[in-house]
Amino acid sequence: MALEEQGRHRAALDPGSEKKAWARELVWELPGSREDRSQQSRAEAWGRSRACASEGSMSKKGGGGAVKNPGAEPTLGMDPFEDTLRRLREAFKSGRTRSAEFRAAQLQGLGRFLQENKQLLQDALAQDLHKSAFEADVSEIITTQNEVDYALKNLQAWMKDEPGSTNLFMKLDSVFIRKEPFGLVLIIAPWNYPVNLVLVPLVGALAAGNCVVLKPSEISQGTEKVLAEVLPQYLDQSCFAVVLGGPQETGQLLEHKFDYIFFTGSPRVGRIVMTAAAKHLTPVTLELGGKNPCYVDDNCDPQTVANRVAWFRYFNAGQTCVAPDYVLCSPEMQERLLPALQSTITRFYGDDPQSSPNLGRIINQKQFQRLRALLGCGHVAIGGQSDESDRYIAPTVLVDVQETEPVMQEEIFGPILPIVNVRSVDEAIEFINRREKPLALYAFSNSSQVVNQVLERTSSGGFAGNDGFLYVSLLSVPLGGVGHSGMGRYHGKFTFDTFSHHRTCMLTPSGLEKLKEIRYPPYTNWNQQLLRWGMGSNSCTLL
Amino acid sequence: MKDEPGSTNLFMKLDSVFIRKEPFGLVLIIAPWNYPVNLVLVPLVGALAAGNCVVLKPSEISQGTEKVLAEVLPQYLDQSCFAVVLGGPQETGQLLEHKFDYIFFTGSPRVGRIVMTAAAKHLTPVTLELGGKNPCYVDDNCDPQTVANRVAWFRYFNAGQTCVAPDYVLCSPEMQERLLPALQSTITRFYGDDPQSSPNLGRIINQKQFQRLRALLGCGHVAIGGQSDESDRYIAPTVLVDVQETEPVMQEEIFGPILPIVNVRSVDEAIEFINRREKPLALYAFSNSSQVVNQVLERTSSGGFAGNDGFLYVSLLSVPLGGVGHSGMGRYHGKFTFDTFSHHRTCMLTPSGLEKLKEIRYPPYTNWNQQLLRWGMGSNSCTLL
Repeated sequence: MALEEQGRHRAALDPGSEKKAWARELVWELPGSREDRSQQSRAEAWGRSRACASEGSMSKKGGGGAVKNPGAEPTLGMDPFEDTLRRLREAFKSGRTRSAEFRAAQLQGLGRFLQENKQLLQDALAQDLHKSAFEADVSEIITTQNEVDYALKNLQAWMKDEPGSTNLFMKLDSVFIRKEPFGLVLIIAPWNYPVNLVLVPLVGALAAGNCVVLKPSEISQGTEKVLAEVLPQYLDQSCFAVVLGGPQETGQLLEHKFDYIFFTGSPRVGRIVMTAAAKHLTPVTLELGGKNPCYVDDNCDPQTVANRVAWFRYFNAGQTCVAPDYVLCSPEMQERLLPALQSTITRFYGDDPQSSPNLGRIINQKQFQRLRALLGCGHVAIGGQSDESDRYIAPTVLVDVQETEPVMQEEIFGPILPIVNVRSVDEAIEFINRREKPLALYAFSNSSQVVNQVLERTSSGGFAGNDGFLYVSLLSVPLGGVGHSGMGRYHGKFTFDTFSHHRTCMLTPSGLEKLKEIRYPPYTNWNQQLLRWGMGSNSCTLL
Repeated sequence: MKDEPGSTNLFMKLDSVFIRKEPFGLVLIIAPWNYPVNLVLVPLVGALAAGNCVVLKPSEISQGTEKVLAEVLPQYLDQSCFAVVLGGPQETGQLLEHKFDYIFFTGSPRVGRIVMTAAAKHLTPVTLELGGKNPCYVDDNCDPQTVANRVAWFRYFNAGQTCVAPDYVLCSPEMQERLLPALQSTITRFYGDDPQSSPNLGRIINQKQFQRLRALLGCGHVAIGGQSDESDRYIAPTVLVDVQETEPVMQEEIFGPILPIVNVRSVDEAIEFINRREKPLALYAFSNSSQVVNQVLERTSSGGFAGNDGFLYVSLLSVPLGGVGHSGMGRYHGKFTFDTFSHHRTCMLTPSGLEKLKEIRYPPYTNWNQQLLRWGMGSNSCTLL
């Protein structure tokens, strides 16, 4: 049944699942036209999450929802999420998630999940994205494990009240900032690093003492299954749930009130999420995307640059939100870079990259078709091969690319690297600044002055000089966007802070009223002078 | 403004990693009328310190202040980077259609939603300093006069038009009996027998607010005060009793010199009452027992909390003022304002050479490479450095 027909059929059976205008938008969340969708891609996208619907339960259960299997949530009533959310809210109200012991137990459970299901996760990632076990380890499993360990180690310190300094009139008061969970939080994750990008936010949400609803991507089906069926067994299910579904279900989910929403995905859907959040005045973190520019100065070693740029571009077949998206360099530099890039690609992936175990695949047909169309932009300088049956796209470099072509209009999110020519670093900076602020920005030059020029005169979520996105693996610095690439940030303690309300608290002795008398009206001149002076910033220096 | 260094892992020891604070760009500050100088200029301090260009939209309701801000303030700032724009709700709506790089809004939750929805179209981050009904629990175990002094001062300050003021009291009927005469005594002491002639009592901002408040005087019973004077936009410091939860005075943020008392039989009932409602901007608990105060603190959620006193903490520079839930998102004051208006950009600077050291991470991988990389990335390896 075609997608549209499915929707109408569902809506006819259950008026309660009527799509709202903005939920409708979610259906087309990925770039590419509707007509491009093949029967196969529809089946892929809706596949298992429709298994429930196809069992004839639509008439009872409304607009689809969670997959029916032992580990997932039962769907009851018109709104498939109502009961789950109510249950989690009750659990939060009961105070269950507040103690350090409970939080640590959850984090330990998450750690065990990773350790005991390594093979399962590696298999799922191989199935979804053709990730090698090694890549799965370094980009997903180890990173997440590091975050779990870090949170466990620092939980007590993070939870501690932070004292605040007082002024002259408040010396007997205790002033501090207390970190408190928001309550019921929602984490919506994408398909490109489907373990990392759902579990790293989860670490912070659990450490902060929240009840959590995870909505993993339905597109990375192998991982979705493991998260839905296995992960809940390691956590307290009264305080944690995995919900499943496609754009329509996510739209329904977003109608509910959450106390925080953490979303990783495209800017287009980010707008939808923030608009939905605004109705409930729910704060959000949006980890979005963009076209991450990579400026390559004339003054550099082409082979070094080629190695570094290629590795970060083609990792995970380019499906990385912080990957260099396009190169800006002079025509002369391009001449030197191309053979270096070819050399690098051959070195990394062999003469037949399709048979390399270290090159990923495109997640699904829809994305594959989209990327294949981009191969028609400019001219193919390196690569350009594709294989639909394998969802394989060769590591590709495009040249003679115009700014107006699709490959320079949308985030590529694939193993294609266009080179755009500029005549100077000034022109590169101007090009970059004409466009939306990206999530990451790269500058390669032997001259630290040039690198700093680019850093100082542009804006981006993060920046790296002479290398790729290594900083995202560090626990001490945050990952976050700016402008269209997002708002908010996380990793390490930043995730804990993201999912915590910082509550300013002041505790005063209940007696000693005589000391407070001075502030009450009616005021004598003397009172007024003293109060003015006491409040002023000069008085604070005496104490 | 200083870059904050970040610690690196085994593979990044030669790199320089730091967080750089950068201005967002063009920021909008929308301010309300109740503290029209403070609530427009304190955000401005942080916005300027963070290096942004700023558009101020002061409230058109506090007209006197609006005039000074529009006509005099720009003369003291670089007007190529700063502007004051004026107008009512319609103009503000138009303004919000434009793209800003940050929006800082102080006002009601209703308008907060509108601002955030408008911001969402441009993916503009926001701080919303909103409001709510700030509960004030008064335990049986307290000194009524002390409590009356403290609650009254913070309630009637600025004629109650303060987003963090205690909005209503929760106490037992017995406590209420002791509190009422104490409150009367306090009010007389603070404002005299004829509060309308006291120089220390404010007035309601305009007719619309005045009419709204005067209507609230009809809720429950007037225990203290209750007088009003339309020509003066004066409302007497008032205490209401026998108030039902469904009455308007318990349904909307009061924002006036009216203090309703709602009876509860225990601190548990008070906490339950509070938690049934939207999270407020401020929450107060008065008790001689620090255990009771801590109970209330631990079992509720609010922007800020004070035990045994009012909103003094908002004058401190070391702690933030911010809401949660319907009372807002984000926070400011002191460094927190600077941080609010800054993008914290993670930066990593690597030497352009020394490629040999990076070689280990490139495919194809030998077993040895893989093991070393896995180990190097794991958290155990970090402890060695």
